[in-house]
Amino acid sequence: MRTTLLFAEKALRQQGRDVVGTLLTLLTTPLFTILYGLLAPEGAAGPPAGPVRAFDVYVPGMLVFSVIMIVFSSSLGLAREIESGAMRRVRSWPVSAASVLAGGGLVHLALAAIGAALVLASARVLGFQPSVGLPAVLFLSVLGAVSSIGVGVGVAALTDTQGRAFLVASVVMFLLLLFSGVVFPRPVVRLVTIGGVVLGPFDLLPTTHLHAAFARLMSGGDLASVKLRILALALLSMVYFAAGVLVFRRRHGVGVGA
Amino acid sequence: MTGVASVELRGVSRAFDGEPVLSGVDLSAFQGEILALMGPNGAGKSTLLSIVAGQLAPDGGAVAVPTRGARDRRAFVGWCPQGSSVFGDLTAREQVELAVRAYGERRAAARTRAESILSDLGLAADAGKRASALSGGMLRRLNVALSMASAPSVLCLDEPTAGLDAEQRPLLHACLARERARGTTIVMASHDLDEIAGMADRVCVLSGGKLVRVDTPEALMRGLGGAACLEIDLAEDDPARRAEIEGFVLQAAEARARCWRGSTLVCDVDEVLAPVARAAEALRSHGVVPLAVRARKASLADVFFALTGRTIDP
Repeated sequence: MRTTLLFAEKALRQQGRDVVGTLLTLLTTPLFTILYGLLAPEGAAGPPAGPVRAFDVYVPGMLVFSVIMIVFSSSLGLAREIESGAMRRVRSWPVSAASVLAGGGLVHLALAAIGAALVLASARVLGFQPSVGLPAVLFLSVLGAVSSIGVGVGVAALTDTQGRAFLVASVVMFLLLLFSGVVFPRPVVRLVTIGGVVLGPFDLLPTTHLHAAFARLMSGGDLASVKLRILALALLSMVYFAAGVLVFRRRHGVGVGA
Repeated sequence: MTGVASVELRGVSRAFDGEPVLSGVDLSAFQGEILALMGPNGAGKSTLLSIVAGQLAPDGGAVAVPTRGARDRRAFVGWCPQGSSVFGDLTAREQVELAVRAYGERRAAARTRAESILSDLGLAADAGKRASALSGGMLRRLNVALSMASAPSVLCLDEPTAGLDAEQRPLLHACLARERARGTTIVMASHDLDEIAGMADRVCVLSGGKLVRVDTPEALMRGLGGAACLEIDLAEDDPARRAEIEGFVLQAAEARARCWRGSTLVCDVDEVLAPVARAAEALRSHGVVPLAVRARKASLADVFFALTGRTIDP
C-alpha cells in the first residue's frame, strides 16, 4: 500500500505538469457533450420536443466515452515511461509491478471520476435531468475506469512507444465505442444462454455493461435494477486490470533478483 | 585479490536468439573493490552487469549476491544501465527522492539522502530542474545518482562516464572512490581505458562472451613484452620486405616484435624515447621512408590485443 501511494503521488505530480494532456482527458467529452447538445435536432437547450430527447439518449454514451478516454491517458503515460527507460529503472527497485501500476491507476481513477462529473454537469446545463445522483454515476465510472486502466496498461506494455500506443489505443477505442452500444445499437450476436440470460461476445466488453447500466439508471431505474450489470462490470474490470498487469509483468516486470 | 566476495558468478552463460553472448563465466567481485569489465562492443559486458543486477536471468550457471537473508536481491544492488532511464517530467531531486523512498525510507530521510547524493555528483544546483531540461552529462550523473539511492552493497555501472566532459569525470570518479571506501563493491563497464587503469582494482578482460583474464591493471601490464610500444607506419606494405625491415628495426631499437597491423609494425620496447631515434636511423640507412615512427607507454589496449589478438577501440 505504501508503494502504491508513493507511485500515486509521483503520477499525480506528473499529471499536474502535463496540463494539455490532463485538459484533453477531462474536457474532451464534456465539450463534445455541450457541442452535440447545442446541435441536437430539437435543441437540447430548449424544452423537450417529446418524452425523451435525442440528446438525453446519448448522455449515457457520453459518460461511457469519458471512461474510455482513460485508455488513452493511461496507455500514453505508461508508454512514455517505458520509452524513456524510466520503467527499466523502476524494475531495479524492490517494488512490485502491481503496486507501481496501481499507484498510477489511482490518478486515472480520479480523472475518470472528474471527467464523468463534468459530463453530467454539462448535460444538466443543457437541460438533462438525471434520475440518479452523482455518487452512483461516479461509482460506475470509477468501476469502468479500472478496466480502461487495465487496457491502457496492456496496450502500453505491448507497444512500448507513445506513437504505437496511440494507434493501438485508437483501435481499442473504436472497438469499445462501436460494439458496446455507446454510439450505435449493439449488434445482436448470441453465444450462450445462461439462466435465461442471452450472452454474446460483446458482453465481454466492460463498456457494454457500463453503458447498459447508465442507460437504465438514466431512464428511471435504480441501482438494484442494474445489480447484474454492476457485478459483470466489476468482474470484467478486475479481469482486465489483472490481464494488463500480467502483460506488463511479462514484458517489463520485476527483475530476476526478486 | 582476496576478501569477502560480494558477487560470485559460476559458469554463467546467456544467449540471445540462439547466439551466445556469455559463455561459462566464473567471476568474483570483492567487498570494497572496483572491478572493471573491459572488452569491445558485443563482448558481453552489459549482459554480465544486467545479470549481476538481477535484471536478466542467466541461461546457465549461478549468481550469488549476499542479501543478508532477504529474498529480493534488488535491495542490495544498485544498477545504472547504459542508456538513460529517468522520468523526464520529474526534477532530479524528485526522482532521487522517489528512488530512495522506493527502498522504504521515509520522506524526510529520503530528502536528506537525495540532497547528499546529488551534491556528491555535482547536481545540487540543478536539483530543481526537470530531467528533460538537463544536459547529457547531467543526465548521466543523475542516472548514477539513482543507482546509489539505496546505499547498495553492490553497484553495477554500465559506462557511467560516457558523455561526461573532462570537468565532470573527476566528480564521478571521486564519488565512486568514496563508495569504494565505504565498502561498496563496484562492477563497472567502461570503454575508457585510462579510466580503467586509473580507478580499477582489478580488470576483467572479456572477449566474445568469454572471460579471458582477471587481474590488477599492473599485473596485466607486466604481462606485456615491455613498458612501451613502438609503432612504425610504412608508406607501402610490401610483405616481401616485412621480415627484412622487422630484422633491422628490432635489432637497432632493441625491441621485441609483437605484430603487424596492416602496414604498421608494432613492437614492445622498454622505454619511449631512445627506440624511436634508433628505429628511424635504421630505416633511413636501409632506404626505407616511413610515414611515422612513434612510441608510447603501453596501455590496456595493448594488454587486450596481447590477450585476444583483437583490437579494442579506446
